Amino acid sequence: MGISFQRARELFDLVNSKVCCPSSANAPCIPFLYPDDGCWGRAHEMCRLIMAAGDLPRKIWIQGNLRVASSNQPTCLVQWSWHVAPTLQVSTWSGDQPYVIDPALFQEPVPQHVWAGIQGDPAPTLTPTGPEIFHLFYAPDTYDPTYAKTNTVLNTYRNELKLRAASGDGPPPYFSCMSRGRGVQWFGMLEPNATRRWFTWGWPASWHVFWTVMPVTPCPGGPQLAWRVAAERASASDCTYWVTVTNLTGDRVKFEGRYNVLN
Amino acid sequence: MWTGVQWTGTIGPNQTQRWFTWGWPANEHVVWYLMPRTPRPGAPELDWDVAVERANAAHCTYWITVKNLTGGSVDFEGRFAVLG
Repeated sequence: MGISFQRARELFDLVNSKVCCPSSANAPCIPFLYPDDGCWGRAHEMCRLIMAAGDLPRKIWIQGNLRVASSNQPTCLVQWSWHVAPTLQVSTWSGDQPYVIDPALFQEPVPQHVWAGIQGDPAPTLTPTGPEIFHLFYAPDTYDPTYAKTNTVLNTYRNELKLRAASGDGPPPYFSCMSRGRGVQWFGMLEPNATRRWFTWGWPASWHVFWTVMPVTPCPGGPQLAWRVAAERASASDCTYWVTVTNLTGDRVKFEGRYNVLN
Repeated sequence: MWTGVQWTGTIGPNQTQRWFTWGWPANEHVVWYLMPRTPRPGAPELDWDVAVERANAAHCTYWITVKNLTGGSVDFEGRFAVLG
């Protein structure tokens, strides 16, 4: 009998809570924000966490000419010949269905056909296995009962994530892959423990405007950003807002500068 | 826009204390503010600062630091408004 979608979501949240802060990426975090490679290590660690929580995952392996849009890759695209993630049997109105737990691609559990469908190959090869299979396509690494190989893979891609975050591209996500949503005035990035001021001009002074900031670089564990707002009356009709943002962490943080007009 | 009271708290004389509230959809624009429930006319009672943490791609945690500006305990409401 399958589990409820709610339980699948709890398990998704459990593994997703281990997401690496890109700039520090300390073990035992999982480098979901480095989607380029290392999926077999992420999948094995996710299965370990799910089994430790008392549930029974399986894995789904996909092969094909896979191409997935991702704002966590500077080119906005990742390409694979294969990929893997854990699955859980979820009870639905039409019977039990496999749902995939893959925080590198989705923000909640998704049906297996949805997971496969966004990977760009109309006729992929899907191979379900038990959770004990560490690497389906490289015989010496078929199993990893001690998780030693898993930890090596995770460490390799934690380091790749740190290198990318330290590069000129900065930490994920990448603004060139994103569109500014409604109420987003600007995208910004702050260096570790830095404070910087932005201004935005030409706002009707008769409008009542609130300014907030929202990190877009995940880093669980503590507050990342604080901010202050000041206003300048530039003319009888217009004003300029000055928003001072402070990075409270030792990691680079990207963020959105947001506004809402209340009247 | 909709508003609510997320929590009620008490803060001691001249104390500073931090609260956090997690699991908020990161796409929502939320502002945080306080309202004392303990009348004490004549001067401001509370000041506060807000900081934010991106817990994952979908959710965030708000951290609200409250400062009691008075020499007595103050009960208060931690309020929010979802602006859009």
